[in-house]
Amino acid sequence: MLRKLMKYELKATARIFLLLYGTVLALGLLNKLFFMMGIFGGNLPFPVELTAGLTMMMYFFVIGAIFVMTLIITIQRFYKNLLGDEGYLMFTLPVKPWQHIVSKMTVAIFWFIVSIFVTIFSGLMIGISFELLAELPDIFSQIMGEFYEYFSFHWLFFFLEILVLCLAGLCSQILMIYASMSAGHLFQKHRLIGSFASFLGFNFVMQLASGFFFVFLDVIGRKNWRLFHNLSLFEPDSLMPLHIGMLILIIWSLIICTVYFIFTNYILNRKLNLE
Amino acid sequence: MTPILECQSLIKRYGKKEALSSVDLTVNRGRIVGLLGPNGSGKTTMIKIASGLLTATEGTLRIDGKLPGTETKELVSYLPDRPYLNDWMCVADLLSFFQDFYRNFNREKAVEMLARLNIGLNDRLKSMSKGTKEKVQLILVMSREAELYLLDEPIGGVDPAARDYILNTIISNYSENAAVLISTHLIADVERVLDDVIFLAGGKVALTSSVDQIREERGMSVDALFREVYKC
Repeated sequence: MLRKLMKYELKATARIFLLLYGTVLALGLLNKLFFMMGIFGGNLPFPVELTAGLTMMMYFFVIGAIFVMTLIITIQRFYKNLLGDEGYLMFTLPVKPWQHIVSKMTVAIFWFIVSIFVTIFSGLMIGISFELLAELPDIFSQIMGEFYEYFSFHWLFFFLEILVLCLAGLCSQILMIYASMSAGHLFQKHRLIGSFASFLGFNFVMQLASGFFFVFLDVIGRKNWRLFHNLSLFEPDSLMPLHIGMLILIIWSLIICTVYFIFTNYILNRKLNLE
Repeated sequence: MTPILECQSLIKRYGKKEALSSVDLTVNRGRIVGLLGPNGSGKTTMIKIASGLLTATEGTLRIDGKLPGTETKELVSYLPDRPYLNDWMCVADLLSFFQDFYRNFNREKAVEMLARLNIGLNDRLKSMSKGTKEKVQLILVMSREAELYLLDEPIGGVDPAARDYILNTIISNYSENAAVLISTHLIADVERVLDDVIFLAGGKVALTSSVDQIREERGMSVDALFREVYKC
């Protein structure tokens, strides 16, 4: 069922994203052509220069639009498709609420990642020659190789840690948005304002909780510094503290994700009240 | 045999307002039941609790002995009182959607009914009239081989000719094992298909009876009785 839900979620959102990606790539290509014409040489007629300038502006505008739309669609798909009239269909399917949450979140993350890649690709397309573009994979693996040599396996780990942390952070943000809308839908009236107020509330509580959590860790660390010292984790050139720090951040993000997920799931399961 | 739908002291409050006040009722299999009452009497609220879109404040509602949940959603085919389908889909997309999620969806049946009402498989929902959209929704809902059909105002927006076809579809489509609950205030139109009626008034059950009983004992049609009970 989860797979089917994701299939329809992708279908429902693909139309908009593919259009945006198409536009940004087309604008990128146009910009590339203008660059190849030597637009910065100053010897082209004014209308051509003007068009080139406008194309460049449009390009950045559409890139901005892609990321704004990613956020808007994440919100809108949950609010409209689950808590609006379309929820009458979605919540009468023999599907568990958690499957709705997971399918929507996965697809939102998918588009976010694709958006990043499309943006990078379009930028590379403009900025560098086609020959260089072909060599890019080689250059990338060379950079990776150098890092690997220097930091040995730490590099790979660190890279993975950053990746996981980014994903967990993204999940926690999306789930916070879902949780806010679920909380907002508990209000009899003014559900939109309720959602927004819940979002601010969640944000505040999370900041506070994070603060306490890290102060708590600090205290623990200070009290047991001898223990850590004896574990010889903190050799002068050891990268261990970095890994431990990353691990703690990841765990904290996952805790936040879990809290929001359980909250949203509970409301959709037990407190659903579609207007 | 467990009744297909059973409410015990069912209460639903919206804030301070009580939409359902301690409703007790039973719907048995093999019956077509009219859930009748004026606007705001709690018909939609009850159907929405049964389909899992609303949570009861107090009391219980059971479908085939189970509380509303994923399991009961397999058994219940629900037609809401509003358009609820994705606008960007065409009819064929919707058929696939229903087929994907409901094991008891009978695609051939749906295609046949759509053809009968001259609705093309490639028609987009966006370009349909309100009435046509309602027909599509009803066809999808009735093409499921469900055990309980909850139809909230199924004929409100469609023309009289289509009304007859739809009502005939309802009668001919459900099996002996299934029950149909139709909420409406267009009583004269649906009266001929009903076995039982439930009158709701102000969130309470005002009367439950079989249609035959009303005719025999009171010597009047359901429509006439309704007008008498709810006289303003």
